[in-house]
Amino acid sequence: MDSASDRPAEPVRRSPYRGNDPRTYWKSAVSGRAPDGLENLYAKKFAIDETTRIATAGSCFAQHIARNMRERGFQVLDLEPAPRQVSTSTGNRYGYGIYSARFGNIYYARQLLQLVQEALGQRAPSDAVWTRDGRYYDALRPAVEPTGLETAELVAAHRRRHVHRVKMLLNRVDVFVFTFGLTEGWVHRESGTVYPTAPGTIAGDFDPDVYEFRNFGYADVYEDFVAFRELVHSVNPDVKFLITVSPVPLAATASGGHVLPATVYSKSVLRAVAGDLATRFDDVDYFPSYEIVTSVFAGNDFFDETGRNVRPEGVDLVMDYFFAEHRPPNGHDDGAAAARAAEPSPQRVVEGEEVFCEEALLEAFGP
Amino acid sequence: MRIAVIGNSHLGHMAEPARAAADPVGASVDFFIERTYGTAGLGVRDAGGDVVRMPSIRLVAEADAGTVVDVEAYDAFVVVAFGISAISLVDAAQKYQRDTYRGWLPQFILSEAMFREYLDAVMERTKGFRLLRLLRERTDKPIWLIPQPYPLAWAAEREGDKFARYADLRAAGEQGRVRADFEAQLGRLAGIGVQIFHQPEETMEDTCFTRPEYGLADPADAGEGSFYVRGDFYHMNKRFGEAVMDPLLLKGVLPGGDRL
Repeated sequence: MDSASDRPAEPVRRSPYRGNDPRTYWKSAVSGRAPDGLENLYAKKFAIDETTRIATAGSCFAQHIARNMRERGFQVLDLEPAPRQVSTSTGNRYGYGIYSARFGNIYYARQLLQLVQEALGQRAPSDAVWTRDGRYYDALRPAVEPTGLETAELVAAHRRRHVHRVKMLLNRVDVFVFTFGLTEGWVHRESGTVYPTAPGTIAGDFDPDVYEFRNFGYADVYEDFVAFRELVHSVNPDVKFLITVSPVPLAATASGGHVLPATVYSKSVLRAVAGDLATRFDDVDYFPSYEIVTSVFAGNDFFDETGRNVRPEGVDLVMDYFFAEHRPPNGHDDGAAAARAAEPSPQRVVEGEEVFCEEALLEAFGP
Repeated sequence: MRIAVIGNSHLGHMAEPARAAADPVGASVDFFIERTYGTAGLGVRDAGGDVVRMPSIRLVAEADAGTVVDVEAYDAFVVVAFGISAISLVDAAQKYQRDTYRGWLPQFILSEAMFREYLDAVMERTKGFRLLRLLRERTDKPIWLIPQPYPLAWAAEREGDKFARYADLRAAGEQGRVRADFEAQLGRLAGIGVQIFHQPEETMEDTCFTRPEYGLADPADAGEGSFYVRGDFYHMNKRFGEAVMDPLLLKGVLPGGDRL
């Protein structure tokens, strides 16, 4: 007679999930945890230390990354520094000290690609000077001169020097940190030149026969970044890339739809591209700032009452996760944390962490 | 009447003319002179007795007037130079220049708006601006400024890196803008109630230069270590001191001087 004990032991059923790290399960990795209690959220692909020359660029949220890395003693390059005598706030108003060159916010990958193409002499932007009230603006970075320049020739002179510095940046950088911000952009129909703001926002005038709206899709964004990466490697083969996605929602959409689904679409495309880039390329790392701020788990409320502005606490948490993997150079971590703790949040929002975001100007056109 | 005169090396040849102008009308002048070997920072005492020190302005502790300017003890204050100079602005433009400058351009150019912000910031850092603001915040009494003189004209004619910027601005015809930039800075001080003693026109030439005869350096003196050989185009002589101090004290600072 058979008995249970006589039967051969049933083999343990195999599952690809069995034995996986606890961080791979929502229940053990996320449920019941505070936003600052996620273990092994991010594992760096490559080291960044005090000798690493870092370039930063991207949308508004990237400004937090640049500032925090500077404060923690990392070597963030600045190829167009403001005069040292000028205060930080004054310099920032003119686009100095925000990123590694004075290119203003770079919201989408096509902008980044075209800037590098221009820096390497492969492209000349069209319709690059816009006007407002008799003053002249660089259409590709209209916010860096708040009151514009006296002539179009001066805009061109400034731009020549700027792209020269961008080329120098590409030659010097070790790690290029880029934050994807948007998929919606404005394009010069004839040439394909893209702009960070719609004509008519800061300067210029929107003529639908000259400009068109483009909501860049997955393939556009992916291919643009791959082309950007290849171009950078053509002059500096060892550059690595650290990419993030901005958690800041769109201020406005030109798609005609509701801004909420437009935001989710835009961020979804960017997040998918970022993930695929990091999967495909060993020299591309993805840091999940987007997830840290936007994921709705216990107590995660990092947006202010507008639902758009990230509270300082959210920025701090993002940077804490980042610096947990990329340890700041000796002696800088404690100092920055102490300064943060000593400074009340409202003041930090107004003075210390003011971000310069021309996209927000679109709200002026709303109801 | 007591007058406090506070200055640096540019005050050297103004001291004697100042005393000579003040004595006949019964005024007294105390000098607070910065020394490279000074041991104590200049202090400014307010009406409440609190003293704020400026460690960057170093005085000799044993000086007759001491090291503290008591705003209650004086009727007027005269600040001399301390970096308030067109030379400071020309130096600043060696790394960052305005985009419309017609001469040699450095690697960084600035829009006119940013360039003005830059010049403002350069001047705010000078000892002179900081001292004047410190005094103004502590007293309503008259405060005068004698700016550092414009560079001697031969600075634009000599060979060498130190002088090239002056030759360049002259060749580019930028003298007018240099002067306008400096006047704008003086205007900012006038805006807080500092009375400016502008450099007398008779001491100037070519818009933004000082006539050679007012220089401490003698272009004919090629002796080793002479002021000219050392390239000192910014210190003036006793004649300049007389040209400045006499009219300043008699017509400006002294009571009833405007009727003299």
